[in-house]
Amino acid sequence: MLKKKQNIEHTQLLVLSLLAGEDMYGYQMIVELARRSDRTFEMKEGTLYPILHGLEKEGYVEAYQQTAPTGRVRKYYHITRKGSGLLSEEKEAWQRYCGAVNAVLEASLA
Amino acid sequence: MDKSEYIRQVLSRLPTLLEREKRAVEEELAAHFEDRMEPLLALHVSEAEAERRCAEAMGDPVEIGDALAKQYQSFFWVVLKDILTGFLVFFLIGAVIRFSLTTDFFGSVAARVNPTAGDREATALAVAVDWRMTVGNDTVRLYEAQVRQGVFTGYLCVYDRMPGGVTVDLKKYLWAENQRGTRKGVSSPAVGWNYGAQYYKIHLPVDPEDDHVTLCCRLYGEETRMTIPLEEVRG
Repeated sequence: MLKKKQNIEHTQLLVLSLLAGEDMYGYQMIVELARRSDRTFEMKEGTLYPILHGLEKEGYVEAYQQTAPTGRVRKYYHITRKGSGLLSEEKEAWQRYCGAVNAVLEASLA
Repeated sequence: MDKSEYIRQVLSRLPTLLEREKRAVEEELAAHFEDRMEPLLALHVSEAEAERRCAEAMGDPVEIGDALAKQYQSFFWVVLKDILTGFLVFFLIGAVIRFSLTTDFFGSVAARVNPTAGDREATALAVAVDWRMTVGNDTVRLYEAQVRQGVFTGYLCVYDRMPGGVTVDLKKYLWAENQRGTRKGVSSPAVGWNYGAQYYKIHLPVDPEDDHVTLCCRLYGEETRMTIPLEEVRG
């Protein structure tokens, strides 16, 4: 029986952050996300594709076919200028949020 | 669950997608299975077991399919929305053109709200009144009047019952009568008419003992009369 895992918050932010560094295909993003987060973020892999297709529909990423290092043709995703703008906004919002949480935690620990 | 069944269940949640869109989703999911299974196969895990583990890692195919469906709009609704948008734009442009060519909407509204704004030579002595009578589809409104030196002077406007509707010139059909039966027609002021409203004035001799005048209109074989008391407009 397939078990549900807890959704990752700010998944769009994570996906756009990955693509800001380089173009990637779906499975590559899953592996890279787990590696960079030291396996903290391990999402149900299929949930990546609605996110990617949604970002593509909104114009934040665009897709193309290319041969991967494995020799197989894969659908790569590339962040657009619009996506880069959204990434900057989301980063700022996240940093504000983290700052506020940290401030509350530090005050309670003082 | 194997790869084929997993992809089939995902695609079953996407009935409104175009065939090429479904093929693209199928290829992308199959590619993901292929990449994920490769290291397992290299460890001599059976293909069936590798597919099962991959399906588990992918998550519930029904949920994935439903989430994907939210990202796609049915081609039918896209085309229908474009057609309806085109009709709406065409209709609005036509309405604006019709309004600008055949009506003076603001003139029609002004006649209702503030007829002196749409009017004529100024007179500081006239008294504001509001007497109205319906003539066909139009409203005839007496909005200012005065009696000075034996002469009743009235200021009229005519507008269509519908705001923005076109009104015709009733100059030939309007007159006023005093109590001795003397008739005087209306005249158009130097300024103050447009398709949205027509403006007139009328001068009628009255005696000191007269207590009313009658405003009349004969149109389409019917005569409409309205009694105007003079008490409040005598100077």
